[in-house]
Amino acid sequence: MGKSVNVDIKTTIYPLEAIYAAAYQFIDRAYVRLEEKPKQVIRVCLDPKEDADPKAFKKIDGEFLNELVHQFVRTKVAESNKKIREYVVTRALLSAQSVQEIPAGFPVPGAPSPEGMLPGPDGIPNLGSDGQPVSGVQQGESPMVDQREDDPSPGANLDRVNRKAAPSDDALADEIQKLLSEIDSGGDAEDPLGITAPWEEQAAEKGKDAKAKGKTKRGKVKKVKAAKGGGKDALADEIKALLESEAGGGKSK
Amino acid sequence: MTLKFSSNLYSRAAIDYAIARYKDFARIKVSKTGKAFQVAFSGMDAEFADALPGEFSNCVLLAMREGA
Repeated sequence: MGKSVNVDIKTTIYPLEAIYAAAYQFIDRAYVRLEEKPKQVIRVCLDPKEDADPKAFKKIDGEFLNELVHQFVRTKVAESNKKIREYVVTRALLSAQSVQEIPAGFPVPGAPSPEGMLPGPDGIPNLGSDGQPVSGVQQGESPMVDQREDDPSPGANLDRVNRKAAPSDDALADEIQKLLSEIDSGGDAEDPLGITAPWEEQAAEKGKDAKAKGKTKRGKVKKVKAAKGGGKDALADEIKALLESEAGGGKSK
Repeated sequence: MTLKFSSNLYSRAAIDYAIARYKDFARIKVSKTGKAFQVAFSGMDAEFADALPGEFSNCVLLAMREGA
């Protein structure tokens, strides 16, 4: 076995982690042992292995010191980049998480994509545990899907306006009923000349009641037309058609 | 053959790891005196006698590097 090489290192200059890392790099060429010496000095004993080249081993102390500087800088850089490294890893793990695993109240930006794929943070599509994209249909109860009212896109806004502006059938029926009651409470309109009454009603003696009813309601329709103006023409026509159908039904009875 | 390992530089777990690796090649005894572990080797084969202490110290260093 060749001559061993000792290197003394002050721990006030190099941290212990750098010394360990540098010594680890030489365990294939030498037997490495660390000894503690006074005055905060660590002695690194490098004993050459049997197959080591004696000439090359003479330079091993210089190589060790260079490696020590390298490891020292490496630990410094790793320490300074620690926060951003942890941040990047955390964001990557969150992006890979499925929607169900994201806790309630966690702010997840982005809207459902046209394919129904739910994007995760940063708009990256979420993948399930099997690697397949998580669709919006499967996530029906997810708070992300139920945010249509808060969707700021122009298309969603137009849909909301249309939904609010279009009256339902029940609202239309209520409006017609309201107008009919207004007509009924508006008083009787006389038609002394019998102009509005059809000739069949005038000729038939049995249909006196129906005749009077028809005269009254047609007069009311005229009143409504005059009162509401041209904007309600369509509605008045509809009411007129209803009344005619009602009168026809009474006649058939 | 005896090796000394400072307890400030090496942990007991690292030494135990190395002992488990080399227990088939020699009888290994560990004792602690002050701030140092003393590791005594005996019953080694002649062909391993030169290399075993050095390989043992490298193994302890490897265990320290891996966080033992």
